[in-house]
Amino acid sequence: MKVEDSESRPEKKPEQLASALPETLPAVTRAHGARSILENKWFIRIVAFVIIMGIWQIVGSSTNPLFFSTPVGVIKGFGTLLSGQGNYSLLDATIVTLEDMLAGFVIAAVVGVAFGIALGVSRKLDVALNPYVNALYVTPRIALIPLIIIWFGIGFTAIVFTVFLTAVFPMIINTQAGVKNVSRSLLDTANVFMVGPVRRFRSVIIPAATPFIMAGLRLGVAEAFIGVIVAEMVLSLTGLGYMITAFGQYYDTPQLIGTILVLMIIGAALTSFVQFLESKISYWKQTERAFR
Amino acid sequence: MIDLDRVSKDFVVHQKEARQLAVLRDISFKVNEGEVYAVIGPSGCGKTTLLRIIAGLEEKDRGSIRINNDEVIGPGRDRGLVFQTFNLFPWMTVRQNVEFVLYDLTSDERDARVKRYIDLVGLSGFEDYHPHQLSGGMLQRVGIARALSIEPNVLLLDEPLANVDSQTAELLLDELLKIFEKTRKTAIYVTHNMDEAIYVADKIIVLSQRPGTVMDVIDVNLPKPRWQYDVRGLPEFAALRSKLRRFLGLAK
Repeated sequence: MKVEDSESRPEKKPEQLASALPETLPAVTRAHGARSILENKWFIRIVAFVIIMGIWQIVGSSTNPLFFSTPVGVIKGFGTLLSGQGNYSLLDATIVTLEDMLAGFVIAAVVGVAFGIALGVSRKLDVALNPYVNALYVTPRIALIPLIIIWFGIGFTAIVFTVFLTAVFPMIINTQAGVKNVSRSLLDTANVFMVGPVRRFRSVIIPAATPFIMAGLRLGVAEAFIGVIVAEMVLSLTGLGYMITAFGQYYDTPQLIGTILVLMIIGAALTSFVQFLESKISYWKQTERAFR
Repeated sequence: MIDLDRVSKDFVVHQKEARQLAVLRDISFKVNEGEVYAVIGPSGCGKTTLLRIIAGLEEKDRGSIRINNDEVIGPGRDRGLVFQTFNLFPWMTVRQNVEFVLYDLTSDERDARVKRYIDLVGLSGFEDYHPHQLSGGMLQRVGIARALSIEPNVLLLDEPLANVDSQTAELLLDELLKIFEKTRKTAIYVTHNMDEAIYVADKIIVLSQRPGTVMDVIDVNLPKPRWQYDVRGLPEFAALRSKLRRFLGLAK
């Protein structure tokens, strides 16, 4: 029976298709029109968001509020944070955190790019120091915190140093890669027209390495943000990192999750800002690849 | 003018085993002032390497190269090189790409030089464009303007039309001929294209399969200016073409 069925199908199909074609065509168009809303990415995201929030609300409501919160609870906690009626001011903490991060990041960017260029230009320096850079890069920076406390105590200097240590390595490594990867043919061009080392460095090597340096800065910002929160959690009595520790100790789950949401928003904003800068500065990147 | 005497080059293939690949063997020829020489040969025969050696970008292992009796020991501003891959700096505009190689001039001289050579290659009005906004043919015009702008004694061209579509290549070739005519430049034009070689050159150096040796130097006695006569249709052109084909067939 089944065998016959499957054999007869291919014979029937063309006839059905031919006769059905004029009728099905408008139907297909209508179906497509209806489907296009269902396939709209914002529609999908909103539906997914509502479902996730619903599940969270249900699971959160049936859990001890000491351990977990609900979306409604988090919004209330967020309100408390913003109103400043709680023990901590969200705005003040955010400013402190951004200051800590910015100080560490700027130092890391200057040192990282300069050191990366030096390693990229000088083979000897690279051979001598590359093992240390790689070893420190893979060392979990949090393991160094006891040492940082011994050196700097707790407070601003210790935090800035932690941020520096977290952010500097991706910038060193990316800058070095950028300087080393300047296309051979562009260096040949500078050589054949006898362009001097200073002009070659300024007008060829640095611009060619800029996309890599920008990628390093983007990674560095993300690392610096992780670094500042970790540092504030253990080395500080202010800032968003400290607030997280404090809310955790008080079992204030709504405000704890509210603060974490603030971190997510700041992190996303920082990354897209650097990405925006990257796209502005490296507009020629695609052609550089095409005509190497 | 340009005098190559038994120039040889090996590539080191394997450092430890000291294995070497013979690339060029005893290349000798002379190019007179104002003449255009084409260098043609099968792919991999070392013609681009030969041009890079003359440009000073690579070292020869034996032999000598003299330009106006001065031994070539490295790059020099007596030679202007046009690259197969254009090699423009993507972050610089057309003007900046040319200015970049004119660092030895005062700013007035530099402006005049840039204008003269950008006009010469027909790119006036495109000075402030970036390379990614230009077509392949226009990119190579910038490459040619840059090489000419240092006013070298010798123009070296490394398959300049290989990355340009064939119609643009034909137009650009005519403009190159006009430029050679106008500036009376001595030039070495490396190509793998027989028609291009015959059209552009006073003499054609035919290189053999690797290791490259000079198989023959062919005189091209076609009437000038060649863009005015349809020289590609002349029987002499066809005869040269079949001669070259025989050589290149032999080389394979």
